[in-house]
Amino acid sequence: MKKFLYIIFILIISNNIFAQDNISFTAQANRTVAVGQQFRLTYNINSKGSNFRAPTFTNFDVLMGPSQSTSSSMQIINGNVTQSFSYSFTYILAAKKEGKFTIKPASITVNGKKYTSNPITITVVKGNATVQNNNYGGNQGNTSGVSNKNIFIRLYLNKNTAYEGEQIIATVKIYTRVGIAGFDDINFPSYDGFFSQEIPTPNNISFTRENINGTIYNVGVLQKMILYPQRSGKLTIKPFNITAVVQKRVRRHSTGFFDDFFSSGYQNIKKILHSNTVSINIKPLPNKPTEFNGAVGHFNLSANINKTSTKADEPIVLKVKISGNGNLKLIDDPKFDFPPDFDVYDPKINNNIKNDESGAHGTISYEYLIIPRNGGDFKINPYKFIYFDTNKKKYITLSTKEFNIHVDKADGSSSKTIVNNISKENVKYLNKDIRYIKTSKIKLKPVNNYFFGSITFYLIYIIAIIIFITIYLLKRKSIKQNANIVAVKNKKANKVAKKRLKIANKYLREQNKEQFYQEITNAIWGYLSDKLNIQIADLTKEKAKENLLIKNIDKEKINELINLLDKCEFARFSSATTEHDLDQVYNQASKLISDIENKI
Amino acid sequence: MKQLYITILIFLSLIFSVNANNNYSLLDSAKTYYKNKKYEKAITTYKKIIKSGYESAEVYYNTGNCYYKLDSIPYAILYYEKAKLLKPNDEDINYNLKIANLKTIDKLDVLPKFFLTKWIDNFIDLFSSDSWAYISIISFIIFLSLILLFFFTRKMTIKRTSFFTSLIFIIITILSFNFAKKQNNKITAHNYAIITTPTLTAKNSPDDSGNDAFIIHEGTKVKLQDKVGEWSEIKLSDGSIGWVKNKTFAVI
Repeated sequence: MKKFLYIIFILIISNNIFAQDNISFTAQANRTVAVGQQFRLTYNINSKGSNFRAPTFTNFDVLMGPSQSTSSSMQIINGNVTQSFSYSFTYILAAKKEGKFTIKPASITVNGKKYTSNPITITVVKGNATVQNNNYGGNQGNTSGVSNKNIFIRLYLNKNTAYEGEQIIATVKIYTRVGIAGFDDINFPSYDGFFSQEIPTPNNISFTRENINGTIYNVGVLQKMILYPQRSGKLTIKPFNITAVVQKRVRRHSTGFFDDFFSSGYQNIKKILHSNTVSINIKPLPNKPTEFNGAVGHFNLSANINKTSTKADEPIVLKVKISGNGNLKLIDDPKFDFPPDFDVYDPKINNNIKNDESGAHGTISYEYLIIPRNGGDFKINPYKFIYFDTNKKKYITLSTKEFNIHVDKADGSSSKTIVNNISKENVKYLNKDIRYIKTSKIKLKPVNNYFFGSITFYLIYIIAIIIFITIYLLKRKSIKQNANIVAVKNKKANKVAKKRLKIANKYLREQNKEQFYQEITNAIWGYLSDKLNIQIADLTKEKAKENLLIKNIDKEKINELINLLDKCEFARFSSATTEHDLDQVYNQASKLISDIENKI
Repeated sequence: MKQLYITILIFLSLIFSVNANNNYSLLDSAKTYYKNKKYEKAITTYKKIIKSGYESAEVYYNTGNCYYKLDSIPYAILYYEKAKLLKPNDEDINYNLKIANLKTIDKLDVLPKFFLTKWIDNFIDLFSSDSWAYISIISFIIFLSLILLFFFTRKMTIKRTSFFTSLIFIIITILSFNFAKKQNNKITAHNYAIITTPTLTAKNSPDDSGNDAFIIHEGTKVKLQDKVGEWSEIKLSDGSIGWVKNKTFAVI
């Protein structure tokens, strides 16, 4: 009996189980997903099955799955026990591309009977692949759950137009009417075309209440930046995204007793917030002066020097301070016109710049270390600092003082540096002393009194020329006179010879033989002497011969003459002569003389 | 009337001789000052002599020495250069000038000269202006004598040699006259100067606001080329040209 009861009990139960013939096998998934976005595909079956076959997911990546889960529940209502089983197969998929895709049914076998699920059509839209919409713990996680009216972000600029380099404050604000649990993914704008600097904001966002179009929002500042436009024209700050985790109050369908107790009733939802597009008109700076170094704002300039008189090789410090409000960070270092002989080191730059609501302000100080290397009086020309005043809308020139520096020569130690410059060939002279002064034989002479160019100098030339000319003239005159004597002699020669011959003729008649020959000889010699202009004492037969030859007398005539002379000399001292001979000699002599006379 | 002239002449010569005597005693005292290392006093003494209208290479040389001893290199160089003008080939002057030049800061590259001009320049520097003048005169007299010989000799060989040697001597006369002129120009032109300012920035134009051309330091020898008001155009031995103020240098 007891056994029977058991069987009945089992039968009842089993009947109960088997009575559940209405087996449902369904597929569930988000109907609209973005490309790359993870989503869940769940197959639910309310009975235990086997041989689950999933379709092929051609257009989706299977990131995980299938993961099985089982749940069973038993309900006893008024003694009526209902039990339900639930098996689920879950896939996590990601869509590969945009489009409308149908996932084919899956199949499962329950008690030998094959069941198929419903096909599911999923629309894949273009989306931000990086944004992953993970719905924590809730299967109803839906981004559309929080409307854009309830939470949004805005970027504000404090100016509509600005000059190049003028500072602009950009503020990113979040407006919300819902609670924010935190931020997941903050992509602040890139501020293309600007040089940007952040103004520090507290880490905890403090919200203030603001009324916008009749709606009250909690407003928090996410970021504050100082922007310096780097180029003119219309600059656009592209929209940016912030993913906020929003707390949303949810109404759960379950009425479980413990539910309210454990759950706060809020659900964290990720919400991607898109900002507005902001553009600003940047005006170019009016024609820039050449010395303009990019400073825009309002500035003061001061400079001082620690000493104006120093020694060579001793450093001087020149301090320049630029203070004010503007793009201090973008200002070029002041360029001083230091004397080229100075060693100048790169300035030490001290920044004391604060960024806050009013923009960047503070001071930059530059410390120049300069070392004069040689003595002298030097001038550091004023440094001109030109900035564009955004209030006055014009360039303003500030200028430092002019510094005059007196540098004394270095004592001794600097000569070492000079030594390095000396070439090798000069090294041998190093450390040698100069030679002693000259003490003896000093001849002083009046300044600017030079022999060259003096009157004496030229006078000597003139006197020399005069002497030369006088000597020349005198000598020429005497030569001329001599020449005259010769001519006279020449002319007279014939006459003299004839006179002599006449005397000879007289002796001939007297038959004075000795005297006759003597006279003939004298006549011939005298004639030759006069004609040839040779002293009788110097005259020899050879000389006479030579000179006559020069005067183009025939050789025969010359020989005849010489023979005649020989003959006369011989006859003078011999007695063997006749009267006839005397006649002949006389005729011959007079004939020869007249012949020669004709020739010369 | 004649007597008056004579008395004036005698009087003048007396003054000069007194002056000269006075100068020689000054020379002696300067010598003692130098010996006792009272260089500043020696300088004033030498300057007194120069101021009285007398000069000599030795006085300039000695003054240069005093300045050197006082470590006033630019003035030492200035006076050595003055001495060198009067005695270009004096060994002591050249030696001390070289030593002083070693102490200057600027070591300028000298523009390369054609070797022939360099030789000629060195050759001209062998003698002073007056020595060249004497050479010129002597060779001119020799030339004239040779020409006389040429005219009046009867021997052909003597005639020929005298002719050619006279040609050589007339060339020597002309050359040495030119050399004398050149040396004299150097002294009288005063177109070289020594920088006396420790550091000097030469400008590209005769104007304070002009661009900087180059920097030179004391002791550098420069050539003066042009003058505009208180500015002078200088040329360095390396060929650079710039303008500096007149008070920054001392003319040799």
